[in-house]
This record gives sequence, structure tokens and C-alpha cells, in this order.
Amino acid sequence: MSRFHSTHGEAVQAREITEELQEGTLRHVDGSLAKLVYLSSCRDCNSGRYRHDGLTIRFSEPDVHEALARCHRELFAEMIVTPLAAWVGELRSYFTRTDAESLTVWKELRPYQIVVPLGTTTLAAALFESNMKIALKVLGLE
Amino acid sequence: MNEILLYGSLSLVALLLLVLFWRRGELEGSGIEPMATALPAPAVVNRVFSQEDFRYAQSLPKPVYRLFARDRQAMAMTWIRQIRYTGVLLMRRHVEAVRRSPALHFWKEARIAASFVAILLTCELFALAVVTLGPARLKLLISFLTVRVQALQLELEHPSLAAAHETV
Repeated sequence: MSRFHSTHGEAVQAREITEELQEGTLRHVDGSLAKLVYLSSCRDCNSGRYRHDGLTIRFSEPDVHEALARCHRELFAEMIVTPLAAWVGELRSYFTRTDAESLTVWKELRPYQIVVPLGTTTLAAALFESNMKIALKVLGLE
Repeated sequence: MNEILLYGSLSLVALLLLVLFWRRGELEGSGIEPMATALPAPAVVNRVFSQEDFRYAQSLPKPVYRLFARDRQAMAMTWIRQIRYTGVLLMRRHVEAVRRSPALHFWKEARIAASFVAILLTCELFALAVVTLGPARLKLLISFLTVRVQALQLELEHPSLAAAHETV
């Protein structure tokens, strides 16, 4: 098989995995932050590899890893440039759908730190953490 | 008069070299690896210096606003350090490359050195402005610095670093 066909085949497969991930899973998760939390929960903290049982039935593990990692990076890149006011709104809607004490837990444990994808620049990671801290403070004052 | 100019210029060059040397040590000791020369995407930098966020933060209670201002200032300084480090790294690679070159073009090298010094000086001025005025008022300077570094990258033809600008 030529290199073009091989690359084309990989691209088609990557698109298929992404579509299935969007339609089968992420469509049912409301809000960008919830989607980011979901995607980071698919990632093994030690190896950094993404796993998705449903997708690995049809596709190979490395392909699923690539698709989830790309999706995670794209979602993060979208969220990081969101205005701070919208960020507060995003967190407000996230916490209305979770347990009552989750806001306190997030302030104390800072689980949002593991939401950052691998390979994120220092500045983007710092902006993410700062926006999270500020939004949590604002919500804590409400 | 000429002597004053000569000694003045020499002092300025010596001062710049000192600053450069000090920064080099500071960066090498800070754990910033060459990988960190991957500069963040312009959208991220614009968000750090965003006036929209600044106006929103001003409407928040004082302690929250102070936290916001402190964080954004720290991020602005991080970005300036990254720009400066990218310039230093480019120049270091360039010096290593031309050291072995049999045909040096004096004016081209002088132009590159001038661009490099301009980047370093702008970084110093920018850092001072961030501390005194705050990041939200300096949006014009971001594009100026970014363009200067990109121009230096193009001049020195380092495609790997030019591509690094696309990172989030």
C-alpha cells in the first residue's frame, strides 16, 4: 500500500473515532469543563495513556489514545481562551450538576490540576490554574 | 564629546552583556529546558493581557481582584522570560553555527546582533511596564515583541522554533 493510502486511511480512522467519541460519549456530557474532566479521567496518571473501553472494541488502543489526546488538547485550547466571566459561568453550571460539597472539595484538593493535557505550555497551564482559582473564589462568595 | 559617546556605548554593551549573563544563569537554574522555548499560542498570550478580563476582575471583590492582578502579572513576566530565552537560544545557536562558517557577512551579522539587542531591551522595558502599568495596558507591545522574535527566527532560519509558535 502506498504511503498516501496509509496516511489517508489513518486520517479516516481518526475521524471515525472522534465522531464516535463525540456522538457516543461527549454529547451526553454538558459543558466544556465537564468534558475536560471526563477526558482527563480517561487518562492514566502514571503512563499518560488514554483508555476507552467502548472505543477499543472497534479500534486499536494506540488510535484511541491518539484520538482522545487530540480531543482533550482541542477542548482545552478552546476553554483556555474563554473570557474569565464566561469561565465563572461554566464553573457555576458545572457545580449545579454535581454534589453540594464538590465546590469545597475542588477548592481544597484542586483536582483541576490534572485536567491539563500533556504538553501544555507553562503559560497556558498557569492561566488555566489561575482562572480556576479565581472562578472558585467568586463562586465561594456567592 | 566623542570619548563620552564611546565610553557610554561601551558601558551600555557591558551592561547588556551582564544582564544577558545573569539571565542565562537564571534561566538555566530555573529548570526551563529547551522544550520550554515552545512559545504559547497568540490567543493564550492575548488572554493573559486581556482588557476584557481585567474589566471583569475590577467588578469583583477586592481580594479576588488582587489575586487576579498578581496572577496575571506573574504570567506576563513568564511570557517575557520565554521570549527573552527564545532570543538568547536563537542567538546562541546562530553563534555556534557561524563560528564554523568560512564566509561571514559583516552587515548581516550586525543586523542580527542589533535585532537581538532590540529584543532584549524591549523585554526589559516591557517587564518594567508590566510592573508599573499592569499587563492589560500593554497589548500593543505583545505584537511588537512577538513580531521581533519571529523576524529573528526567520532571519536565522530555525523552522523548528518557528513551528513552536503554534503550541497551546
